[in-house]
Amino acid sequence: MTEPLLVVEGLEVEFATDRGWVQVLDGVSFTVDRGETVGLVGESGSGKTVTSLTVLGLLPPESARITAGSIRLDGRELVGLPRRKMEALRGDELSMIFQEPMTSLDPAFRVGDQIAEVVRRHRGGSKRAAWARAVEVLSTVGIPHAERRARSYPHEFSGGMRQRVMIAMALSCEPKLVIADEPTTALDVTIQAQVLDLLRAMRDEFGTAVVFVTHDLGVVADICDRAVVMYAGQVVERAGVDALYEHPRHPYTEALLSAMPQLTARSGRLATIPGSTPPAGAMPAGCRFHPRCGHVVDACRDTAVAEHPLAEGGTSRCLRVSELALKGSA
Amino acid sequence: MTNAVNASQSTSGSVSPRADPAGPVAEVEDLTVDFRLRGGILGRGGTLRAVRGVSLEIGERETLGLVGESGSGKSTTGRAMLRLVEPTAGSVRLDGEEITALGRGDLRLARRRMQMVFQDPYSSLDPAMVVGESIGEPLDVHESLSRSERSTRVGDLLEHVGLSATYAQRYPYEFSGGQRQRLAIARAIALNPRLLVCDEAVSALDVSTQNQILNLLEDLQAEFGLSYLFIAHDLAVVRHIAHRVAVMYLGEIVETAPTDRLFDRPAHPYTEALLSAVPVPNPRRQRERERIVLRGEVPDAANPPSGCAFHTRCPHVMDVCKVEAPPVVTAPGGGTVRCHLHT
Repeated sequence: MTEPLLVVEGLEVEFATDRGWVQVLDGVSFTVDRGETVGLVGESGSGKTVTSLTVLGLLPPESARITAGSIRLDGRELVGLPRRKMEALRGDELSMIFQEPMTSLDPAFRVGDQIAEVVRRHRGGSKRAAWARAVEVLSTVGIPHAERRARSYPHEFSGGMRQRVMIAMALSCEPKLVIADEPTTALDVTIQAQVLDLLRAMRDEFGTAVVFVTHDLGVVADICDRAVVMYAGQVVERAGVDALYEHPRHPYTEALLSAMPQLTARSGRLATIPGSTPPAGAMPAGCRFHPRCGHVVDACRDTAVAEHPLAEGGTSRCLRVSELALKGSA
Repeated sequence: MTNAVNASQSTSGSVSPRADPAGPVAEVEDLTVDFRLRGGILGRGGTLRAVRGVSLEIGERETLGLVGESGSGKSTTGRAMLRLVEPTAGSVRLDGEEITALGRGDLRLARRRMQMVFQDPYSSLDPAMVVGESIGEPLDVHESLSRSERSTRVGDLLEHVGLSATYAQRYPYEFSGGQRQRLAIARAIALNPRLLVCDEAVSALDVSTQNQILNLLEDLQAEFGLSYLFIAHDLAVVRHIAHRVAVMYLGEIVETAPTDRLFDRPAHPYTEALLSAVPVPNPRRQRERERIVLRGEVPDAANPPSGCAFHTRCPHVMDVCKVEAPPVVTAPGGGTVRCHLHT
């Protein structure tokens, strides 16, 4: 059996603060298979975005460092890869889509030129061929009159159309893996539905694997095959989405699911999770979720908990995983 | 419990005019808001009609959800009701008193009774002031209290929103996002308002914090008899908190209904599409749902389509929709709808 497309193993990352280096990721591990969509889920402060930036090699070198772990893309180690090699990889085998496309698109250049530039940098060839490729991908992502719109500047597109341009750029070199960080969070729901459909179609057509970073459990249910739930810089649960929603194996996943207001029925009082996510550098001893957990026992307070592999597949970072029957979403 | 907020009425000189006690707290009739567009490169001016003839009512202790996508005019409607933007035409009444005609001084008095809570609490908390100062500011403007009365009132307000009275001496940056939203709410209720306009008040918060704020809003409504205009794009949140819902598209209300009717049996094709576009947090159910993916995007509000404004994206469009604006009619099961399918 060949290795999965992306293997992240034991990743540890620290940030520089005025109190010195502080750990923000602790032993993050997950895999993504070819053509698979994996959700990286969590609230603010969970480490999901730091994880995605680390995989992309986009951590600011002066204020962040990888202290342990491995990231392998198609068998190739990315940790420690020289910057130039990482840059060559990014946009080619590995590309990204962010929440606000304006931060990734240069307002001073026509979108067709920007996509053509990516194509030429990674694939070479003539300017004419690269421009033709840009028009082709713009058309693939559903930009009407792509030939003409390729000559437009980013600000001449609506938010939804700009996100399509961003997706076109990300797919222009047929990457094996796309990392999408909250790509639909800033969009209206009817436009979000269009973009999610587009991402699904791209996956089916090109077999692109996607890491989908989001706080929205509805979006994960809609587009992901598997999910990785993060809390306070650690992975707390990994599972296929059907299992995760119906039989969560970590109390934090259960708490998140029960807190989702329902569209299809009015709930009574909304469930809350007491307290708040601990800040980096001030993690509680034992299980990091224990101060907020409804199933806490004494052992949770002082024993650091490892990720347990589960018989049915997936993992849970809960000491009581075998004895708890947790509630899923209806 | 004696509450700080009611105490404000006894100490204040002016008594809120109240019309028929059974009548609505807020009534909006034919509200229109125009924005003048700047010249741009081509020197074309022009007018953007952000709100087109909106009418709505909010009863005592009622939460009216106002939903719609960007550019629908929902925020502008809320702001125009408080005259944070000036209405171009139409009427806004609070407890029967016409707000649009008030002069500056009277408007300031009326604002005691209608307050706004924004998405970003920093907009109502001065980062350079301890939060007790920000929360007490409305009291300073409208009431003359001694130092100790004021500090007791601020402490009571903090406790009402679930924070410790001792927090009054801290600065906004010392609080989490959820706590800052509690502080903004404390400031908004300081003068015992009748109506709170909540504009995306929980949109920037994580789900567990969001729920704490929603529960707090429900508690305050029960305790003080507040009415809410709850403007939000998150439909699941609106289903939870609203008693009735109004749906806006391109500056118009296209449907209003009691919450359950709207979500269970939407009457307008736009409402139906909007609901079907929200993914539900359960993969099996999400796969089974019938989804309506609308074509295209919301048209330019400066140049709205003829006839029904939704006709360019409507899956049920008929010839009449392109030429004739549909009238507002009673919807099956309650509420109103503006659609030719129902005429």
